[in-house]
Amino acid sequence: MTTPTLRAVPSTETLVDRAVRGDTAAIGQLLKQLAPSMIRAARSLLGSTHADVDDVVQQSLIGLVQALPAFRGECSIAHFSSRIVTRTALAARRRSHVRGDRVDDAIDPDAFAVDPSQAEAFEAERRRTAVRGLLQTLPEEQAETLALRVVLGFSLEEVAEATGVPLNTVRSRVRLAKTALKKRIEADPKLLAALEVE
Amino acid sequence: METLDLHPEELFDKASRGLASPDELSRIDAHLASCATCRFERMVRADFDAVAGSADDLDDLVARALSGAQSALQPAAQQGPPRRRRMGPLLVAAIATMGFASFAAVAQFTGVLPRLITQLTTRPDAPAPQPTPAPKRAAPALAPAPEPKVEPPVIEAPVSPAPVTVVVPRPRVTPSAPAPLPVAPREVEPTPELPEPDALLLFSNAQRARVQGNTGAAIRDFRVVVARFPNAPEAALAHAELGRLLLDRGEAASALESFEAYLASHDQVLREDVEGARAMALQALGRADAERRAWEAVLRDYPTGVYAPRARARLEALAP
Repeated sequence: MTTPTLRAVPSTETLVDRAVRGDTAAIGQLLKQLAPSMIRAARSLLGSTHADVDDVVQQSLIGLVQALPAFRGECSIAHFSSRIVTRTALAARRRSHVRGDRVDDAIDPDAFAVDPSQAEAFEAERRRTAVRGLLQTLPEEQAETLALRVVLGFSLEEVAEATGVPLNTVRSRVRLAKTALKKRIEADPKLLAALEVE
Repeated sequence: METLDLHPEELFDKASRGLASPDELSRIDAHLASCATCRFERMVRADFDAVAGSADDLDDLVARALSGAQSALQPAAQQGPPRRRRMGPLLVAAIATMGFASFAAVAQFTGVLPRLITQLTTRPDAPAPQPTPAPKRAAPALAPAPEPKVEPPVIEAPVSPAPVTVVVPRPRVTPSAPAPLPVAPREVEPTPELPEPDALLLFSNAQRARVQGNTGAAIRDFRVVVARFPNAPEAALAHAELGRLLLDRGEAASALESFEAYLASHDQVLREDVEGARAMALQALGRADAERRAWEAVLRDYPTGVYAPRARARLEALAP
């Protein structure tokens, strides 16, 4: 006779179902599953050494629990949590900007210049920084859409599911955000040079 | 040239899933050749992918994030009678799956906080405190997380096998909050001077061992908890966890004892799970009559619970 295995029972769907109904153990397990990806998202959006990364992740975990009763399964729980951390991180960046905090948008060339092999890493950080800075200035909906799509790699459909807006709205937001991105690139000669724009 | 409407986003998505045809790939290449914005986007996506996967310290970050969320509990918990300043069984239940603090956040925003506060501040033999009104469950969908005030965490961090780095939970910071307490990881050398482990610490170590797959150590530590601290809130949960581990190992009789010890306690946190697990243990033992009664109890107590379908199936199978 096969021994029943309790821990093999809960799939993610089961966990989510139980968590939505307030099952504390399931909520705990779910958060543990989702925390790593939420941390990665927060670090991508804020910069890995940003002072608010921990706080954003903590707030996002809380926000996720708070939002669970509203979760209807219209997207995956991973995308649901990604949207929460995205919104929280973008809000944190705006707060940092308002407070005048030093954020990691100022790249220290010396940190990369010592080793020529790190030149590409420096350029990559320049590009990431440009996007983070842009996210800070875009309208919230556009920033969220651009973050989900470019920073977290969502497809258009995934963005629509996660944000709960029609696909055409997502397309429109992407177009507007990319127009702003284009202007941002054109305003930075070094970015332009790296892209070899004719 | 304005490229406002010319980015082939659907084709990009298709290509990223490996579904683009050669013709579509050619169209993408042609677009990229003329669109600096999309070239940039493609590059920066790869840039973000690179950093997203490079978190060597992810375990620490996870632990710190979960621990830090714990501080959100403190202000609310202090609204209850301050008879007992330690974690209660509901909070300990969270350790069963994730560690301390995240559960505090969980509790605060799912309506279990009142129960948690009650258990947090009350010994089993103490008079019951006045119930705290439950927070409204229907939270605004996806609003940015609320920002509780900064409070220094007071709950001790779980301790790993030596040598271990204990990460002190960071206080949560809000724009209006006072400056956070200075925090930094501090190295703790295990020495004979360390205080005697309490039930919570042992329970947390047992959970850590379980999560790491060290079942033997987990069973040993859970047994220590129930043997040395039979009246601690952690003991009931240790019985439940012990039962699960034993059942997983095929020791159904011992598991049954543990489940029944849990059910004899006043703890409610894992009761649904344990009732279901007890029925499964009885099934493993071939005690059909007892198993039937156990599933009937599960259906009666949790008719829409996660074990309900299994209970119905078993009852049908057990029907004469």
